[in-house]
Amino acid sequence: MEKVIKKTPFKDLAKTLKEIKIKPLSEEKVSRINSIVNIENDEFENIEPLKKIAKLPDEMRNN
Amino acid sequence: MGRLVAFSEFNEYYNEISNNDSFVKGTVLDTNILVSLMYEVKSTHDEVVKFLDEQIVGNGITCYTNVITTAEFINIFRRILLTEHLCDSIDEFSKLKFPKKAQYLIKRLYGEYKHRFMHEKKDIIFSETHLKQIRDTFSGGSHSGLKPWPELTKELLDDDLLRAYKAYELAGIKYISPNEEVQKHYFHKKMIWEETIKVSSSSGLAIFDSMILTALDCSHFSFAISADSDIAYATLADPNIKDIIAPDSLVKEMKKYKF
Repeated sequence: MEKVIKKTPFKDLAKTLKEIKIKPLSEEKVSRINSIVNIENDEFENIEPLKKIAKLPDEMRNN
Repeated sequence: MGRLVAFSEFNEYYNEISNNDSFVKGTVLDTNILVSLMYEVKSTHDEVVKFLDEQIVGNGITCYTNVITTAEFINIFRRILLTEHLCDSIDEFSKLKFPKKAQYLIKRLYGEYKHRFMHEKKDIIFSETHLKQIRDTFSGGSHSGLKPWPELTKELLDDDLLRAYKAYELAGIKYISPNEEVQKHYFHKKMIWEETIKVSSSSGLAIFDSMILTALDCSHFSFAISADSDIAYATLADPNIKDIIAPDSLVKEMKKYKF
């Protein structure tokens, strides 16, 4: 007797959507994201020291 | 007059309509039905999945959606994915290193949404306005040439949103339009804006929802499946709207209205 396969496309769709939602970001992706946003942070930090250097006493600037 | 039929009454209803010679094995899904599928915390999630698989697919009925429903499905899933991943960044074990101002904003917004979820059962899905506010915390310096937000969203959405759409297609949900030459036989009249506005005016229904009901009216299909209380209300208010099949809880909720 032929086995009847029960089709559950909507259960499968709901399962796939849940999997996509709860799937954590891969380490590779986290690393790529951090490099994107960290470049941004570094840029802001680079602006600050430039102002500080301008206020340094002359003797320190020569060093 | 259109009827509002509960999922539990569908068997009886189907036996009645499917004996009609003009019956076409097709139906239209609304956005809330699709949202119920993607969001398992919804009270109707299990009910909708079971109904569609057993009663609709089981009876060989094809599910159709229009352009608006398809767009809304993808759009809501986009917001869910962005919300989930952005909120991941404020988890104590997260390895994501977002800028401080982004983290503060995400944390504050998450707190507000969680409060609304606890008290009003509102979904934790960031609104477009809040996503824009978060986007602005990632903006590059004026001369930096950097685009952190676009690059971030590409990482967070690209593959997953496409995978969700492919799964949607794989479920057998078909796009329907009266403008498609090969689908013209599904329709007995043209969809016109005047009709959509008339449906909207009959109960103050949103135009997007009116478009779903107008498409149903212009088609040979006997019913649509909806989990939207506004569509259910419009069906009861307007005698010209075709039948709507809805979760039992929604049909019960509609009993408070007297027409």
